[in-house]
Order: sequence, then C-alpha cells, then structure tokens
Amino acid sequence: METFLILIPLGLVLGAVAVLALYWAIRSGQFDDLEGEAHRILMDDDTLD
Amino acid sequence: MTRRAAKVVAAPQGDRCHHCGGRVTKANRFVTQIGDSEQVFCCAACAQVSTAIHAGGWDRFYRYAPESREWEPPAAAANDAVVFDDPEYQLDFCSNVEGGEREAVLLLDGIHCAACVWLIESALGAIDGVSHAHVNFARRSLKIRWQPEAVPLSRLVEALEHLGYRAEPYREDAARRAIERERKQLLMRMSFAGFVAANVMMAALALYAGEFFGIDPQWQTIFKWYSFLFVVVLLIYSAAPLFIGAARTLRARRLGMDVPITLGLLASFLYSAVQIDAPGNQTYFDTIVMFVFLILVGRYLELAARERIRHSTEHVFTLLPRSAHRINADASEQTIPVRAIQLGDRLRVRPGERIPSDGVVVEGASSVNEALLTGEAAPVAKSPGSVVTGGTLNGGGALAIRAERTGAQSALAGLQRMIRDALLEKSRVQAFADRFVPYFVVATLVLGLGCFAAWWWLADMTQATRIAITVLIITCPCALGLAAPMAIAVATAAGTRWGVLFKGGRALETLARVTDVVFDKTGTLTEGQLHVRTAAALVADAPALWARVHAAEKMSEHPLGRALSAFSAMSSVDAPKAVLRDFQNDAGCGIRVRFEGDDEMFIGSVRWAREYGIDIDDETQRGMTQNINRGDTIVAIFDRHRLLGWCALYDAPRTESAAVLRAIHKMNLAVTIMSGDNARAVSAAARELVGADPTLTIYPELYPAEKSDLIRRLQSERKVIAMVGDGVNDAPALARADVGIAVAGAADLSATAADVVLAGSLDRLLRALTMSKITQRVIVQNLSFSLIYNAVTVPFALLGFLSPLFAAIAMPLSSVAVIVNALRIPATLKRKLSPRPRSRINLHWKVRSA
Repeated sequence: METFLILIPLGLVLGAVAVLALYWAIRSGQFDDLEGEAHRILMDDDTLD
Repeated sequence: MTRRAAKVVAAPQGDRCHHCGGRVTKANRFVTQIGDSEQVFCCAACAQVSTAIHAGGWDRFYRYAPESREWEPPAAAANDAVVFDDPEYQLDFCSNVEGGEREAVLLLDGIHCAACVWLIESALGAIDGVSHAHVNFARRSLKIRWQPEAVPLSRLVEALEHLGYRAEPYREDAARRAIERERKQLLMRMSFAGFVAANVMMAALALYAGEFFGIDPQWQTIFKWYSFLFVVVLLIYSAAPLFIGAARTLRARRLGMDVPITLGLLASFLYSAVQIDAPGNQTYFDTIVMFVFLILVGRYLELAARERIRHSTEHVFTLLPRSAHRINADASEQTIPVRAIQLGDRLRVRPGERIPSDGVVVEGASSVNEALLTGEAAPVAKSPGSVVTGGTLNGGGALAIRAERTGAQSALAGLQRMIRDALLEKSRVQAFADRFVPYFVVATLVLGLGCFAAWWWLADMTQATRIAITVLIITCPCALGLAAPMAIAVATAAGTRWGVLFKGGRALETLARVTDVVFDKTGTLTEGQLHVRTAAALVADAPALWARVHAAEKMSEHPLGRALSAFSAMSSVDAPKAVLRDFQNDAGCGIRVRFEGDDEMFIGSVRWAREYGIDIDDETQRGMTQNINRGDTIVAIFDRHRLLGWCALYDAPRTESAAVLRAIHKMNLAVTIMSGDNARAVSAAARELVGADPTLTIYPELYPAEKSDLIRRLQSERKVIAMVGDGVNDAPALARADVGIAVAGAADLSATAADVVLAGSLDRLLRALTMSKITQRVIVQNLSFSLIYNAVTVPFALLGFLSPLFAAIAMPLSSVAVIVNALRIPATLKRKLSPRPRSRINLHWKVRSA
C-alpha cells in the first residue's frame, strides 16, 4: 500500500502536466477552428510551409 | 438574381454552373474557355473567378469542392482595395510583427467549404512577400503576414477578390472579445472538471470497494481528504460561473436554474466536509464532481452550437460601402475610407455604387434604389437639393453629394439602434425551463424543511439535519440542468443539416408557442422580382416588336424595364436585332426611344399613352382591367398613332409559398401578410396564394417602423408572433417579433436581426416549426423525467435510506437518460421531415377547399 504515497503524487504531477498542456493549447487557439483543420489534412501537397 | 429566372425558362436538366453549381438558363448562359475545355457559367462573375482560378494554376480547387454544390455566386470584384493601404485604415486590424512584417486579420465573405480554405491559403502563399496565410474556417477569418515593402495589402485583397472572396477588416470590438473569452474560459473550466472527475472517481472506486471488501481506516481518510481537496479547487474554479449566475438571478429577485444547482452543490459539499472524519464513507464528493462536469459539458455544447450558427449567419458586410470618393478643393478625387468622411465633405457617387453617407445632392441627377428604407424596389429620382441616405443604391447617373450626417447620427445607425433595442428587450424573456425553476426550488425547500421538522419531532436535531440535507442532495437538479441545454444543442446542430439555422435556444423554444405567423409579401412570399404575366402584341410581326422592346429596355435599371427586357429577349430570339438610335427617360411616365429609320416608340404607363391621344379599344381595355384586378402593373407600348402592344407585370409568388401557407393554416396558426405595397397588389397576391380566406389578415402600405409597431400591437393582444421577412425594412419588425425569421437571400441586417435564418426555400419554415415542436417535446419529457426521478428518490432520503453509493449510481443515471433522450432528436426529425407525411397534408387540404 505504501507505493500509493509515491503513485498518487506522481499521478497528480502527470495530470497537472496534461491540464497545463491543454490550457496552452486552448490559449494558443488550437480549439478555435475544429472544422477547417479536419479537412485541411485531406488536401495534400500544400504549397505553404 | 439570375438564378431565379430559371423558373421561367426550363433549362435542360443537369446544366449547372461550373463554378457555383447554380442552374444555368437560356437567358443567362456564359460559355468560357477554361484551359482545354469550354465550361458553362451562370453569370459573368462566376466565369471571371473560374478564369482566375485556372490562371493561378489552382484547378484542383474543383476536385476538392463538393460535387453537389450550390453556392451564392461570388460578388464582382470591387476596385477600391486601395483603401486597405491607408495607414489610418490599417490602424485597428493590423500590427507590426518581428522581421519588419505586418500582420492583419480579415473577415471573408464567400468561404463555402474546405476547398476555399485550400485555395485562399495556396493563392496568397504564392504571392511574393507573404510569409503566412491561415484561414479559420469556423470563423471565416484570415490571418496574413506580409512584407509591406514587397507587396501592399491592397494587392492581397485584390487577389482575394478576384477569386470571389470579399474581405473586410476584422475589428476586435469589446463584445466579440468578451464572447471569445467566455468560450475559452468555459472550455478550460469544463476540461478541468473532467480532470478532477477522473481523479476523484479513482478515489471513489477505492472507497466504494472498501465498503464491501474492507479498507484500512487510515487509507479511507486519505482518500476522503484527497477528494476533498480536489472538490474545493473544482468548486472555486470550475463551478464559479454557476455560483455567479445564481447570485445574479437572486439579486434580480428571480430564481434561475443556477439557484437550485448552487443549493444542491453547497448542501452536498458542506455535508460531505463535515463527514470526512466520521467512520465509514458518508461523503458525496464523487457526485458533486460528476454533476459539475456534466452541467459544464451541456453548457459548452449549447454555447458551441450557438457560436457556430452565429459565425455562419453573421454577414461580414455592412450596408455602407468601405470607401468613398472625396472631391477635394482642387476638384481632384481621392478614395478614402468611409469612416474618414467629415461633415460637409463633397463626395462623388458613381453609377451603381452605394451611397456612402447621408447627405444632399449638390450636382448631377440619377435614380436611387431606396428599398433599404421603404422596401419599394422602384428607384426614386434624385436631383440637386434631394436628400439621399447612406447605404441606398445609386442607379445610372453620377452624383455629387454633401455629407450631412455620419456615424451614429445616420439613418442607418438609427435603424440599427431600433433593432438593438428590440433585441435587448427580447433577451429579457425567460426560457421555458427557467420559468419552471421557482416552483421546483420552493417545492424542494418546503420538502426539506418539512422533513427537518418531522424528524426533529420523531428523533433528534442531528438526525433531522442529516436527513434534510440528504433531501437537498438528492433533489439536486442535475438532470434538470441538462434537460434544456442538451436538447437545444442537439437540435441546433441538426437544424443546420435541414437548412434551418437557429441562433439561440430561446427561438427554438418560443417558436413552438407561436400563435400568429406574420409574413412580409415582397421578397418573402413572392420572389420580389417582376415577371411578365400577360403580353399582347397588337401588330402583325410580334417578334420584331419584342426585339425593339428588348433593344429599348436592355440597359434599364428599373424593375419594370428589367422584367420587360428578360421577357422580350426570349420572345424575339428569331427576329433581327433592332438598333437603337436615341433614348430618353421621362421620369414617372416611361421611356421614349428612336430606332434606325426614325421610328419612334414609347414604353410606359397607360395614362401616358392616353395623354398622347392613343385610343384603346374595348377588348384590350377588358384584358387590362382583368389584369389590374389581379394587382398587376400594366405597361403600354405605343407610337404616336396607335397602341402596338401591352404587358401585364406581376411579382410572382415563390413556387412553394401557397403550400407553406396552407400547411401553416392547417397547424391552426393565424396568418397575417404585411407589406409596403398598395392594398390591391397585396390582396391580389394573397388571393392568388390561398384563395378567398376570411381568416387571413392583410396590412398594406406600411413603413419599416410601422411594421415594427404592428408587431408590438399584436403582441399586446397576448399573441406570440413569428415574423418572416427578408428586406432591411423588415429588420426592426424581425427584431421585435417573438421569433424573427429571415429567408434565404435576406439582407445582412435582417439576417442579423432575426433569430432564425432559413437557408433555402420557404418550406424550411415548416421544418423550423416542426423542429421546435420536437425540441419542445423533448425538453418537456426531460423535465418530467427529472421530476419523476425526484419523486422516486426523495422518499428514500426522507426515510433516511440515502447513501453516497445510491446517489453515485442514481444521479448520473438520470443525467445520462436525459442526454440520450436529447440525442434522439435528429432521428425524430428525419422521420418527421421525410416528404411523405407532408404531401398527405396538402392533399387533404385540397379536397376540403375544392
């Protein structure tokens, strides 16, 4: 059972990293356009970089 | 406009415009060489755009674009992009970024599909000096970065406009920023609630398993504290909007849905916090977490659905043009942004341009289409001294005007203010689910207090408190809070697939309660364009006569002239072309033309013909009277000696109007028609649509403000009004009505003022009504379900049998049931909207009316 004492904080740290990553994604506008990006991938050899 | 003519000339099936997919007719058929093959187009603008796409080497666009497309044809490219280079104009949508580049955000009109995204990004990316071009499809906006020394912004805008996309600066105003911030914050709060839910559930699993299989009390305490800490953060961060909402409604002395939610949350939390140190597990932390998460998911979905509709209906273009031509003191002309116009500026308005500002004509003569203000399509003559209004469309002559009122003082701003006030007033109307809440809260509190009193009398105070609080916990309206938002989110998304765009949940709910449907006539029930109903040639060689009429009316901008031109073009296909030598417009009477060989001809009113002493025989007079009684406009064609022919013109009803009116009648809704037109024309059109119907009410000859007042008067008789309209002059009435519905092709301002936009023909209105009925039924089902759920579970709590495990199973179950019920909406819609049942209704009506 004592492994929990390590696993719980570890889980929390990983969870916090995930939440922070999500916040970064929302703030940088990755959730602004959920339709366009879905199609963009189908139009290959884009001349844009 | 050109596509509507298709109803008169049957085009061969399958002949569709290569670019926009619109129907191609004999009267408007443009064949252009694109690459190796000849392609057919519906209008010159489509052909130009397609040529530009081919010239750029972007032919793959048509492979990416949907096969079965039917887009609005692109707007013709304007030639005033130069205003985009004005540093003052750039001030509020451009910024300097690193590397000496500038960045701008533009809103684009004309983006239909993902292929457009590809085309815009590829075409702009290929221009030297552009380092970054990114289209946000959901928001129809474009972000570009470019080297100002290498290429001016106006060239990029021109490139866009040649491809058929009109650009407008994206000005980030406070309202837009606030909405965007709200969306992002809700998304973050929802995600955080999900994160907390995952962690608390893990602890809850251990705690529940411990109930059955035994658990070390020390670990039990640790898991309870673990959950407690998460829930504290959750309540402070994720649930904050719920608490704020509750406080706001309470301060307004009302009870919204947030109030019982807050009550339940606080009761559960305080009770659980006190029970942490008690033996066993009497905490409800997992229930709280699931509850907050589900409520936020429901709210986010509702917001997202609403935002999506808002972006696709919110037109980019204001009614004012973006630039004006200022006449400087030295008589030179300079193109300036409209916002830079000063009072007293002299402005040049060229033929076909929109008038940039309210003002007075100082020079020139022209006719101006003031449909914006009056709904009347016939142009009004303007000469020096006449007053002109910003946003109206100049006809064939050039004018110089002096700007008199700009910005907030202008007539257009006044119209917009009228709409905003009406909308604001409307937003105070409560949603159906919210009206139901006060009873619920009172019932819960009475139940809780009653139970507290009973247990105090039966047992002791501690026991009474514990049980009263569990009653509050179990009545916590999780399913109730989800009932309306889920149904609305699902129905709104389904609506877009059926061509009905609901801009908010309130419209969906209100439409189900509508008692009266008010229609605008011109442009809504009718096409808003004149057609020739009857044409009589009184000369031997009819095709030659029509060839002459065509030559005379070819260039006309008057709606009568345009109708005559289209008709005569078809009736004179085989006749030799007539050559016009002289043309004269007699305002208010008609036109006078002279052909080669000095033949004179007049086209105009019958009154005008009589002034020339033209004799009209009895038979002709009878024919004319017959048409006049149907509300038609008569045009006489004559020379100095006799009548050569005459035409009766009418505004053709949309093909589906009659069926729609009958179906609405069948739903027991009162139908009212209002119009700016004269009484005879309106009642004739009504007769044509529904026959002699005594229940139909008609209000002719109304100005925009009067339309709005009429709606208000009907509302004061406790009627719930849906108003269907198209023009800018309908906009105040659309905003005033309980539900404003704008039809396809409606002016930007009316689409903004409306709550519902119909994408396509008028029969979408029936879909909208059905849709709102279905949604309303699902909401009622959901509300009743959550009440039944409470009726079943509350006795358990009253008797003191409620346990955290019971709550953890029963509460999410009720929420899931409500969500699943809402998800049935698309399937129900599909069943109800399939064509068969509706045709049966029509048949029935015909039998009865026969």
